[in-house]
Amino acid sequence: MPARTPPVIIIGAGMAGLTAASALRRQGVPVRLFEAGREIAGLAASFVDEEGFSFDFGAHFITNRLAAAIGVGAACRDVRYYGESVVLKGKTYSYPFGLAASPRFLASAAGRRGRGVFGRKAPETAAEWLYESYGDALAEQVAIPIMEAWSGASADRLAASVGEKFGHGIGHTMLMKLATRVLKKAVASGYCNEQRESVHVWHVYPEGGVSLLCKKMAEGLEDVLQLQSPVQKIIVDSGRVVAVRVNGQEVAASAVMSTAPVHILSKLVEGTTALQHLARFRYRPMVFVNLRLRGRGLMQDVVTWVPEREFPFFRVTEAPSSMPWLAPPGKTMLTVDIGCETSDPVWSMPEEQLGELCLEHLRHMIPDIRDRYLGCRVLRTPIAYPVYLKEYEEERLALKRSTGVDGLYSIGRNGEFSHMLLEDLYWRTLKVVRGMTPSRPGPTLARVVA
Amino acid sequence: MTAPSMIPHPPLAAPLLPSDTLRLEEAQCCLCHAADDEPLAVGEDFEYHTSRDTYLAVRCRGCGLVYLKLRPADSELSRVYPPSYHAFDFSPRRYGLVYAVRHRLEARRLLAFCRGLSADARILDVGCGDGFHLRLLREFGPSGWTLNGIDTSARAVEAARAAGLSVRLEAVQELGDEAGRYDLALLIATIEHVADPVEVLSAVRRLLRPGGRVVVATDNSSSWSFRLFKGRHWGGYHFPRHWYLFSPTTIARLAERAGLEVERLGTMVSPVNWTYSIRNALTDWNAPRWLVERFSLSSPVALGVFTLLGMVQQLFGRGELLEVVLRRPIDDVERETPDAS
Repeated sequence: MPARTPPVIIIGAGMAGLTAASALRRQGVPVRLFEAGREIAGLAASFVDEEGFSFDFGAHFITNRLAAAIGVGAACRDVRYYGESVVLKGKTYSYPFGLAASPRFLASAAGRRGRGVFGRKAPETAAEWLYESYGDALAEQVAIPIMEAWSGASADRLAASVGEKFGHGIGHTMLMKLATRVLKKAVASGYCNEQRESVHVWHVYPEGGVSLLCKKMAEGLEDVLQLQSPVQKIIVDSGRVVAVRVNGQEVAASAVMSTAPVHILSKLVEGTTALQHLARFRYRPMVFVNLRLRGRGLMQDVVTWVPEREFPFFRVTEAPSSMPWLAPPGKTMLTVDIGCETSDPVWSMPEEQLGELCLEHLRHMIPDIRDRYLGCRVLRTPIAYPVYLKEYEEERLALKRSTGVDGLYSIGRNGEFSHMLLEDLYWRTLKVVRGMTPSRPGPTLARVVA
Repeated sequence: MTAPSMIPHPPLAAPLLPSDTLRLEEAQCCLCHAADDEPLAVGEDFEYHTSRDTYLAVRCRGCGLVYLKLRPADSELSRVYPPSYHAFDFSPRRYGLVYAVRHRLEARRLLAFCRGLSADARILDVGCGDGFHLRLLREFGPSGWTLNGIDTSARAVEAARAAGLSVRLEAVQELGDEAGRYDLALLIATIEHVADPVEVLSAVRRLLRPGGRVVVATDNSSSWSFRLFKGRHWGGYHFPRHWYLFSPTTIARLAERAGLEVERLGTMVSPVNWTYSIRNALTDWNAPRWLVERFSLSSPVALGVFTLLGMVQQLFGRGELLEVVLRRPIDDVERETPDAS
């Protein structure tokens, strides 16, 4: 008689870990889910303060399709509008059409596209790609500074693949914008690579924040979810995962799905050197300063890009402009994104000082901001964005295919080392789970791995 | 060394979802028994607005079957089928001219299915609703036929009994005492509503005598209206009441799974899905009431136009409804089958 099949062990109860755990559970595969923190949801956590402001780690993008798939459609509200602007030399341009209408940028973009139609070689760095697709003026004044502030690396050192998620034609973008106008729903455009875009798929957002998705998926997993239980080691024997060590004890595993950042994963794995190269993969830390203010619609658009280097931040989001339910009536919240390193003073700056820093620079856009200011709430994460450095681009692509260790899967935004947004994360994680489990009638995963 | 402490996820202070939402359960492909699917559409209950929930229709990557991914739990069915549900009361009082026309057309269609039945044949209408089809058979068929109905909705059964019909309030799987006793079973607009079509059709097979037939009529997920409206508004989705939607390919597979032979597999004309696809889109886009009302089961113009369109589709073999005649194999004799003669 074979012993009972060990469970699939999932590391991290964020969106990816919960998606995997609930999918495996539905298929009758035994799972255990270990979370290092005191709460579920990870970077999809939400915070609601006593005044009724709710905020997340930056704004997430979820759609009616994702909400329906998880079964939280009834708790979500339609986002009716979404727009982006760029501030340059004190002037605000709507993106992309306002910028395109500026003769300077139009000429540079057109010139660039006109050149190099013949025998153009594929761009290797982000800088080349940006020059190629936006033209000199737009690349130099807008795209490159934003990318550098966001990633903390020079655009010459970044791989061209950072542009993958922006790759939609202008015609398609216009169609989706038109649909948004007509349907009065923020039709999702450029936010999901795994599923088809359609005028029937638009942005929605839960009341009380994005963590609702995780809470819903955690229902029914109570008995396999262990909080405050960091996995200390993943034990590999002869190229195959056999167990994890958690709370000082070894727990046998038929497979391990890790949502840990890959540089941490490389240190967790014991018994193989297959993941050593991931140790040099970098994530960009980010400080999100949420300014609570009187008034609404203080910025011209929901998202404002701030490429000029004299600003300590590169993006300001006024989520209540498109999602009024995130702030009490008559009030609003600006989320200011500051990219930094953990050695930078800004990383450890106290809340009040951060608020002050933001107010000082936002004065140019909102002259009476100090009179409106009600305080701020700061969130920090050392792993906001994977940085696609060119030097490890090939290894990143290899990781997309496999970890190189049998039975070890690296999933989620941090685990896949990918800029994907929530909906992609969901469908991709399901795809990984399907890859583990034969989809046709036949042996279940339990028998395959036994 | 201490044992790992089990810290359950803290109980949530407030319920996750608004109190008027339905309890939903996840389904899988009833043919492949797998959860390998891709999303097709997000929809709402455009017709009856029974809750604020949104629903995901998916397509199985294995066999192409279209189905509702999260569907209302059994406990919610009385909300999902409100008292005003059309199948509970398709009456001349409510539908006037449309009733009169449908009455005639359906009678002809039904009798065509019954061709070759003996004068004392036994017929079972599975999912008979208010008994519309049984009444037609009573009116136009020979008087020697035994006509029985079965439905799981108390409201429907009550309406059918009020019309003097013999109808049981049960699931067809529970009719074991009648095994092998029927010559013909009808599943008209039924199979798309059930939780496990293979189980239901297998149960129907056992109720038939060897060689007995079953007629299945259901929405066709390879019709023209599906192609055009499958992204959200297709009438055939009937969110959240249609749980499995078949095409000629998948219904043949269903028949095979249920142990039935395909005698005929075709499509038929129906204006309903066109009418409701457009109505759903108009409702969703907040069109004025008068315009929405042009597209309903009581609007003869829309029904007339889409019937003509349906006839064209029929020429291409792409009609709006599937019309399938299946047969219990002659040699399919179960030991426990009592002798019906």
